[in-house]
Amino acid sequence: MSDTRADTRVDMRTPLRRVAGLGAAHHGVEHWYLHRLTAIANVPLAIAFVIIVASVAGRPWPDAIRIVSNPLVAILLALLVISVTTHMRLGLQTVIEDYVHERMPKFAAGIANTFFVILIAATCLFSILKISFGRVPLPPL
Amino acid sequence: MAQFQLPKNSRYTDGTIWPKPQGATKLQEFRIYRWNPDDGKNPAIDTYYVDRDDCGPMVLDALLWIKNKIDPTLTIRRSCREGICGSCAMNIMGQNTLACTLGIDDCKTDVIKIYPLPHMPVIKDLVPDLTSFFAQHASIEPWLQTETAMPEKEWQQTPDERTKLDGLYECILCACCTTSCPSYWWNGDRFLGPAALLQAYRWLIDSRDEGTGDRLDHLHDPFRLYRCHTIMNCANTCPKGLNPAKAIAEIKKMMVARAV
Repeated sequence: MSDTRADTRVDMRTPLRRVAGLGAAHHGVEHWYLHRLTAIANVPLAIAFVIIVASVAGRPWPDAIRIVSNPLVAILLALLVISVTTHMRLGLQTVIEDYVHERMPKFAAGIANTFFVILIAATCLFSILKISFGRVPLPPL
Repeated sequence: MAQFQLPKNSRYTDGTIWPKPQGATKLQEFRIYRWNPDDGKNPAIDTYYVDRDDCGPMVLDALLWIKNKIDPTLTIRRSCREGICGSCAMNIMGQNTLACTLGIDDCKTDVIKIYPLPHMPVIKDLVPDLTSFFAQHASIEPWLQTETAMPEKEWQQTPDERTKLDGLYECILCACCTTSCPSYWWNGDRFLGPAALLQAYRWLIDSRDEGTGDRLDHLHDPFRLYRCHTIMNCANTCPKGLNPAKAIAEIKKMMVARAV
């Protein structure tokens, strides 16, 4: 890929012109900043997630529903889903930009990445809301 | 996709084993990458034996000894032989460095393997094509840019402001860092690489320069700047002991500082 020699039979642009390409995109800092921000957010949220999973593990179904539908727990889980999926999309986009260079596969991979992440996020958020607000019959304690 | 294997006509084969110098008691073996654009053959690894008693202490001395006494077709770049011109940058024992500042004894090995700088087009033997590398350096406009009327004497800066250029101005543009960077291997046509970015920062941090905003605009790009993933090969390999990764991190901090 980085064979940057010009084949002068088809390309007589100057080296500076080839390096300049289409100019600077004037974006990238938002991506970089959000990637770090979500990385920081993931630390406490992932710890909270482990604690929540541990407290649910082995409990009967109604107890588990009661724990997850607690507002604090549900909000933490929802934030985790948003933060992790955002981080995942940004990270995978970077990997695609690094290694996939052909125009069509690059755009296809980028679109697939975005759709996949949105699907994950929507499914997880719906599940959390369903458990929190859904009319799940609960037996008395 | 990024190319992880050499093209078929770039894969090297076994080359000539040149005879040992007669009467030599202390020999050092060298295996050196050879490629001639004119003979249509694949690259080959030639084996040479250097008489240490007849040769200077540095790897460059050995290369010149081979060129003078065994094989005059061995092609290398060299000029100052003291680590200031950056011409003799090559990959020695798997590390990009200057042949003139690396001692043969410091290689601590029976066989010293020498290749051209990685992942660059080869012109001949150990001479890589650095056209794009230098164009990338030119693209960051490595000169003082001002709008204020020229002062009667020089542009002034405080000693503290001058200190900020230490660790940056010493770069000799040997391309060791840039050609050691995997991000540059995969995206060398769009990523500027550590050497050009180190110089970009050298002008961004210069208190006399008035083009800071335009310079940051020029770098604000997912490929030009943000292909750097802090792999740190650049800092590990720099023969002048500089830290391009830190300079790039500082540019990223400047980007955030003006955006957030």
